[in-house]
Amino acid sequence: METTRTVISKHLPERVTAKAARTFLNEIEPILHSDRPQIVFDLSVVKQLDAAGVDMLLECMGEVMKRDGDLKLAALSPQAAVVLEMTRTDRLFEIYATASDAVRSFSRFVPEVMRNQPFSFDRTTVADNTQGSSKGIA
Amino acid sequence: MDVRAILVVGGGELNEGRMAGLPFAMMEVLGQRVVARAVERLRDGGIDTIHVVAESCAISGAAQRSCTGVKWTETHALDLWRQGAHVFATSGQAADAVVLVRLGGWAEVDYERLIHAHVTQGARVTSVIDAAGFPLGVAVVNGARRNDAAHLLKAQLLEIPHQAQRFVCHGYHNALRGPYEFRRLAADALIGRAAIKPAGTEVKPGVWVGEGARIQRGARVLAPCYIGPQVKVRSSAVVTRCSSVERGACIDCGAVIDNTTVLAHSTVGAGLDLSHSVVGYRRVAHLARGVEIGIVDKKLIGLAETGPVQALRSAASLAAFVPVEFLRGLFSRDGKCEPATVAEAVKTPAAALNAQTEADGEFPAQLLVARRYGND
Repeated sequence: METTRTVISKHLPERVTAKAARTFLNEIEPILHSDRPQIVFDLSVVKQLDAAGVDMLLECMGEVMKRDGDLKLAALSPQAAVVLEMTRTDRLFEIYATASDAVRSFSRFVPEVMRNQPFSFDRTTVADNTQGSSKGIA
Repeated sequence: MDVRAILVVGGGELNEGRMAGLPFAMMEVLGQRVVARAVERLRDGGIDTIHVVAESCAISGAAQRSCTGVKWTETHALDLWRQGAHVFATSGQAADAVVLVRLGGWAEVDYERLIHAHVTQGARVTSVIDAAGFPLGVAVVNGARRNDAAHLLKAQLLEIPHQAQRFVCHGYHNALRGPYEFRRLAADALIGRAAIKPAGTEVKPGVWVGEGARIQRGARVLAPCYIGPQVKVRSSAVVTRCSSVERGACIDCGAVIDNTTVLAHSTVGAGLDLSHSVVGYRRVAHLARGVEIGIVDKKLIGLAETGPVQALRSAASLAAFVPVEFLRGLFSRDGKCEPATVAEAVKTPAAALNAQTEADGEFPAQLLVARRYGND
């Protein structure tokens, strides 16, 4: 399954507070309102992400979904990852280790990229008595 | 060379390899039952004569229908292995070799290489083991070795006979001992660790959808995940992180399915949040907490009606419509009021204004009359 539409990658600023979120939203509004937008947000430099920032992400997601597009996140900084996990919004986005993985995921599914995800069974903490023997191909 | 297979499905300890009393081996993983996938795998390995000895349970009928072209024998869980030995005695002995498979777990054995190794090494019995040397519940026995087969089946294919040749399986395997392993099997298949292909169309990278599934606008379905045939995912629901929603299930509005397997024909109520779980048959197995609980309230977790039941319910409702309306009309007390014209409505005082008090229009002495209402 291949798609040739453009994927737009944007870096989020270091501080994603209410004012910065509004500015960023104004900046990307034309992209959000394009036809079937495909967007990747790179959060590698994000040092502060508050509720307004999370709200902004959700608003962007809502806008792109209305237009049959998608929004993915990439390269989450530790601060951003904690905030998204705490607000349980990390489940609403596909999150990739790098922006290039996220861009590539729009055109084809790359299973190897998913194996190091936080939800992968290799990293899930499970009560000892429920762990079984499951071994995969190396 | 005539090679046959005997697949023993179910059995095991009381709570091992099952949920709600039903064996995982008979449940669907990414749209197809484990036993059907095992039969397909044996056929791909060149084995066409396959006999399934299955534990009799609520879903064994559906499991049998999913496996075409096999001989199917159902029996009580405690009688499973004895029946397997009987099948070997009656039909296995005519074959050159018989592959015995215990379908408690899932093992991706290369059956062609296994049989080739068994034949070239001139072995009487070959046991399949993993890299650590543990048996995987698969063995090959020469057709004439009835006693060896009986011994293997009596031990439920969990022991390696002393004289058996060993064949190391480097493929994926999963013991399917509990809900954790069952969830892991689906997740590993979605991320390509297991050679299990989702039964459906890849509608966008990493999202497979079965035939007849309906995903409402506003629902969020994130890769990788699987939506089975005839599944309904309602608006504002979220399905994410290697989740699989099996055949006929219904995810109601606003529910979040996160790293979870929703078993076939289950309903997940509106607004629920399920993560790291296996859900179905009115039970929830939470993997992180290591508990499995029953859910009585079907508004939380229920069983979806199948197509024929829905059709019957609709037909009954249609047939009862006219008599019910007739009876309602016959015994209803309230008559229909004719709507008045605007002029009449303005002139006629409201009925409440003419309501009489107990003292026929006089107020009780202790009340101070502040204002009278009406058209006087």
